[in-house]
Amino acid sequence: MNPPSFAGLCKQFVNQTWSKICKFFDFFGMAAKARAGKLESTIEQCRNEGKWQKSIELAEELRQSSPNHEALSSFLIGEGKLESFLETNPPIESNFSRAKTGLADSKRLLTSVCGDEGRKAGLALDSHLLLAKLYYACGDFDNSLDHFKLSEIDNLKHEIVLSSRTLRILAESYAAKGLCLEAKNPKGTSKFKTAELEGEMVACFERAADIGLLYLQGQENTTNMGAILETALQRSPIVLIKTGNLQGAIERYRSMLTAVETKATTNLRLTLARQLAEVLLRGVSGTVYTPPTNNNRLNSSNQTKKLWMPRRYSTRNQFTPKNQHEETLLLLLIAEALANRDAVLSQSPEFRVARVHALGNATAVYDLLTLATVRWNQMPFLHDTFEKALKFAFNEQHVWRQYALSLISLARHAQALNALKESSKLSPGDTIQLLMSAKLCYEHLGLVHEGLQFSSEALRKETKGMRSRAQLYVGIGLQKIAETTSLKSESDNYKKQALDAFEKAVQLDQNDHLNEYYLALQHALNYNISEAMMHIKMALTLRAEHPHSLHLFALLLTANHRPNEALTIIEDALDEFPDNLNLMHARAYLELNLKGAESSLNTLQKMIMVWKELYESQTQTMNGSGYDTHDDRHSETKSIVQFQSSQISDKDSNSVHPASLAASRVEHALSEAASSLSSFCPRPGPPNAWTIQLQIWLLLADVYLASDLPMEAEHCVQEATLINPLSHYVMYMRGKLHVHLSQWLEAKQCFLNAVSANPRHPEGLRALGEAHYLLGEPRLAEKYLKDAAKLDPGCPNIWFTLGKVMESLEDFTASSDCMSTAIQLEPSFPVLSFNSLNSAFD
Amino acid sequence: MADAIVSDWLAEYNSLEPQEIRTFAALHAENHELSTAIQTILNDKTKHSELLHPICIQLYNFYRSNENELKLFTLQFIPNLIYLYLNAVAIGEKQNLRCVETLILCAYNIEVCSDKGMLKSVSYRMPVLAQTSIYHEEKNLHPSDLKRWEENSNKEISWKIMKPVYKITAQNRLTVMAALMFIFNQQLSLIQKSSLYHLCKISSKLVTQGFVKHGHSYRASYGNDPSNQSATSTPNSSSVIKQNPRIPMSQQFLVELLHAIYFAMFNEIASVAIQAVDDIHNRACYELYSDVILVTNAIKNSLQANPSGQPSDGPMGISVALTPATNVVTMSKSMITNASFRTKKLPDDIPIQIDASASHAHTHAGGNSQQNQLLGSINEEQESDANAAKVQSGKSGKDGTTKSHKAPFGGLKKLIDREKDKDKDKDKEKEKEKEKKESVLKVGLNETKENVKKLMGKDKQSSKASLHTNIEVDSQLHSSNNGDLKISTNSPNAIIKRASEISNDGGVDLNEKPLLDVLHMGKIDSAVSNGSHGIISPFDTYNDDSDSDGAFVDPPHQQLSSSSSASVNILMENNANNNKMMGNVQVSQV
Repeated sequence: MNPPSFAGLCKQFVNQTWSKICKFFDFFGMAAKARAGKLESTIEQCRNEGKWQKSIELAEELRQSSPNHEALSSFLIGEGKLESFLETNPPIESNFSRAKTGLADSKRLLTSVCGDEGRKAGLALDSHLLLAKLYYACGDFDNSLDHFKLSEIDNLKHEIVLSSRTLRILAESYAAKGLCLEAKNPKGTSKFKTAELEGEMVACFERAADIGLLYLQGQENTTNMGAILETALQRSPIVLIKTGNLQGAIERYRSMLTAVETKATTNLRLTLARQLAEVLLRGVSGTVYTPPTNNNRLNSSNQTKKLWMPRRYSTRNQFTPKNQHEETLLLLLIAEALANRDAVLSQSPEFRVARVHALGNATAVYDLLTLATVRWNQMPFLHDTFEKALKFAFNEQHVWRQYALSLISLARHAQALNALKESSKLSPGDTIQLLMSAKLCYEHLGLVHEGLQFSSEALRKETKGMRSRAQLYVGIGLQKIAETTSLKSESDNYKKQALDAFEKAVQLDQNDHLNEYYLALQHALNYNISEAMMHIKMALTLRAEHPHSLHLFALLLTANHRPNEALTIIEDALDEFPDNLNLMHARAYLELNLKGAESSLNTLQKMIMVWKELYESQTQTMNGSGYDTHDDRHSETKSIVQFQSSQISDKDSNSVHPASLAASRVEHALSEAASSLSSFCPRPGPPNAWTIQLQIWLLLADVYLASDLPMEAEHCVQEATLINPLSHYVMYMRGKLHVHLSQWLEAKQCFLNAVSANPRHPEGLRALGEAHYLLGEPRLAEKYLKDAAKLDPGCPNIWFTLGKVMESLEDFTASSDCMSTAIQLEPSFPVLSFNSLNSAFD
Repeated sequence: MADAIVSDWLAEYNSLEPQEIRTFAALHAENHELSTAIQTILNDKTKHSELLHPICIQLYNFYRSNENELKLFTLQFIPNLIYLYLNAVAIGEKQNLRCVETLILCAYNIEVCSDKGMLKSVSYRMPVLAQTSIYHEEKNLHPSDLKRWEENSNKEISWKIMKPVYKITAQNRLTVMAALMFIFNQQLSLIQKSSLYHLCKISSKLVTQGFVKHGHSYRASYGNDPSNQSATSTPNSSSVIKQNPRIPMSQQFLVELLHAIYFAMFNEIASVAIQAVDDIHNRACYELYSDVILVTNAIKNSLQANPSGQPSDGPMGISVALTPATNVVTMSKSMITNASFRTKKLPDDIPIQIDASASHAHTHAGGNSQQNQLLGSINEEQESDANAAKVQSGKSGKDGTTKSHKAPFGGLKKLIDREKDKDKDKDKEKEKEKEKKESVLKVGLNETKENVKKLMGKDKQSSKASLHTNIEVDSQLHSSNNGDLKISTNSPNAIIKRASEISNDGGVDLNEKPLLDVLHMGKIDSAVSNGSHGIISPFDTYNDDSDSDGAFVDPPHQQLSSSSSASVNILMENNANNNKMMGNVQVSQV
């Protein structure tokens, strides 16, 4: 490259070569001047445009018109035959034998020009190059290399402006030479020799790439660059990786990708971008990465010298990656855009091959994008990608499945369910998707019956490892249905089925703590405390650190008259799960009863602090972007998140959880109506965070009432009212406040409101009954208490109050029955309802 | 054997002078024998329990030192240590492994806090295609790609905020582990191959421990005999369980593990790594971890069927992927790809709305370009037959009164093609007019042009400004080459939106009861246009000149006497989904 040193190296030889090149490259110009000028320029045009048949015809004409040009016309015909043959039979291994016969003619013609005659006409270089290519196409690498040697192609170092045909011949020659060298694979030679050969090969590929891209940049209409060139361009970085020069390979990729794209290079660019991303993902990690240099400056300074270099992207303010993540993503984005553009939408069978190919290209990019983004929690990004892909991924299960999964990860539950349904159609045997649908139904959408259907279907289809999970999910569905069913016989039936299902699940997989946990929970819900105790211990043996199990265990201890042990368990559990609001809630309640209000208030203070830490940011950032809240999903708070979604956990034992789901809908509707009518406006931010705060306020109010501080309690209720005045919990608590102040009429009104908002709130019904009773309306009291008892027959409080009411009605037999029921129930009744506990999925 | 090597190593380090540490560190990087020995001990801690404690102390010292080699040396054992620790927790023997716990905790905190006590974070910029890069220019890409990514524009992505941890609890345990794996992953290419091998093995162990293939019962269970349940109970069964405690996992931790395994897969440890991915996939399915399944699906799919290549396909699984030699050229004509769709400035098949409110012309002229983008819709390019088009358009032209076009796709195109031809002629006329008059009154439809011209001619001076803006849009449309109709859009976006809402509603089918709906639309529009008088004249956009006289001209004439300015706006909205069309014309004046 450097003229002085090069000249110093072998001056004479250069001069020789130079003159030869000039002779050759000027040949057409001179010849044109000399005689059949027009004809030759037409031929030249045909050669540039690759119209080989026409070129052959014209060459025949030339031969006839001017016999002096025998050599030239032979060369042209040979060239034309070679190229047109290669167009239909690309030089790949399977075509080698066919090429040997098909190219015989061309070989003869070109060989004839190689001799003195050709040299005189200045055609020898070209002929050798074409012959070398011809031999390469026949798989005869040794001969090919010989001709490359004869052509002295390696000595072409002066970069001058060339016609596009010559550029192409040069590029392909370098490419073919590199491929020959690689195919020869010199074994047994010395290490030094091998290294030398490798160096030569790499240099050839590099040249091929530069000149090839330059050539293609000059071609507006070419859409296919030819197999030799394409192979060589893709091969060059691979060769470098093979020799262990990873950085070199990356630079090679970069240098090809920074070249301005043309029509013909689109496919190549897609492949290269994907491959570089692969290399970065598979071979490079943070510390060994060197960012690409901004070749802007480099380019401008050398522009004058490098004629054989392709144009490169260079604009102001262009994005230059600074680390491997940026570069990987940038490449994948480009690849994605390219792959999407070529995605085939036609569904007719004749395009099947093209469609599958295009889709394969696209999914390869998606898979890499998935790898690169999930780690960084860029779900919205990934989701967008798949959503766009759906357009051309009709009936493609992989894309659909990934789309559904990305929706789940984004916590867009309802949409995820729909996508899963669609995706399940494409892969009907996939039980995972059914179970995911079931989980969504149970956990977020409140579609218990649908969830049960999904689980049952999964159970029917699954024969392998997931069977126990399917069985468990069936059980969960049955359990939830049992809770919502009002008819006792039906409810009992469901409970029995649920228990059955859990037992089967345990048998299928005895090593799963969740199975044991749910079995224990089901026993607990049936007030079968000793059984429940046994199974919860099993669950804890299988997984000691399971907050739900610990919670249930503590409640079971309280149902066993061992509240102090329960408190110890809760306190220990809180050591391991310091941010778990459920456990704190239980703790505050236990402390209130065991240690007094003081320590309970401490716990509540901690709860408020935890809320502040975990949720306050949510309520603020929510307005800005939807993405931020998503980040929290992965933090340690997962266990708490369930606090809001599953158990609108009731401070006062008896809330039937699934009913509160219906209630929350009523409340939602009410608040919508309210906000349109009055000045009430819902707080910004996710409703869950606020619901949790509301629960904390109400619990605090309860604690203040217990310590006889009605004013403070009132403030708390006021705070809760500000969050959601229409919650039945708030109304109920307000009622309790009035009870404390002996304002029976107001209390009754409040309880009535609460019960209207949620008619399946047994504690509300009980309190309403009691209020009626104290107001001297025993008949109404009886009615409400009976309703309450129907909803929660295991609650001794209800029976006791009912007993008192019956007593005042002078129905002493019924009264004593009720009272004795209360006494019977009391020992196995936990301090907080077992219902506050039922959504655990891990 | 292993014991001896490790003992020597411990002794050697303890006798070192501070200045010798550097050379000591340099030696370590290559000492495979030692790493193997330590791996052996860590993998089988029961045999060498007495060595565990000193090893942990040693590794901790290494990690704390400023020598990168030493730090790296410790780092390679992170997977082993994690397994050791998590397993101990699962079987309830945490107290025996305090040293490991301490080491993990310290390593985590060292990484989280920088020297100055600030929190470290690893972050990068999200690239956006709308910005040119060293690898692309935006002009070559599909506009929808650009628009979509613009939303993400260069935001910083960071690997979740890590806080210092004072105590490892059940709540933060897996977060700490995930963070450690993240740190491990940052050094992946410097980690020894043997360590990567162990990583894969350990990952398999972590996720499969406690699982039996296909759920065979192997434990004599109380479940078989329900009556006997309480009698058998805990001690018996727990002794069986002890062999196999399941280790709790988290999504994030598994995703980090997968990243490392993927790396290992393409660095000579293919089969073990593939096995590990399978195991993690099964576990993720069991737990229904959506994030992890996303990643495992991606890896499995890329291994199964696609050009990304197998680990065996050459270095890093990268091989030559040639463009299929199928004659792309011959195929592409009839094949529809995403590239066959183009975003146009304004669509061809459009509901039409004329809003002649001068005030709006003023206020909203600036918003036009934006509006055009908004209206940009996707149209398939098709060729159509000009002759057939004439027949079709002739019919619709004579249809008389109110028409909105709801032609099937092809027919519609034909119509439009005919309009194109027409336009060419009209264009010439217009050019002449342009020269004649200083301000050119070119308004949307050439059919209505004459009429509008009359209108505007009278108030030319006053309405000049507003009309000028119309014309700008107009010519813009012409140059886009798709402007088969010449339209000036000059109306608030709200109207467009409104119109599209209504048309998307599906409740309105203008073909069936055009008049009613058009009137309805008009009401909305006039409401939107803030009290300007609105006269709604349903008429056919594609009418011949003679037809449009009756339909269109009259209402404006009536009001013309009092008008100070007028302009005609045609709003066009294309409903790409169902090709339903709406026509609406509104003329109002101030």
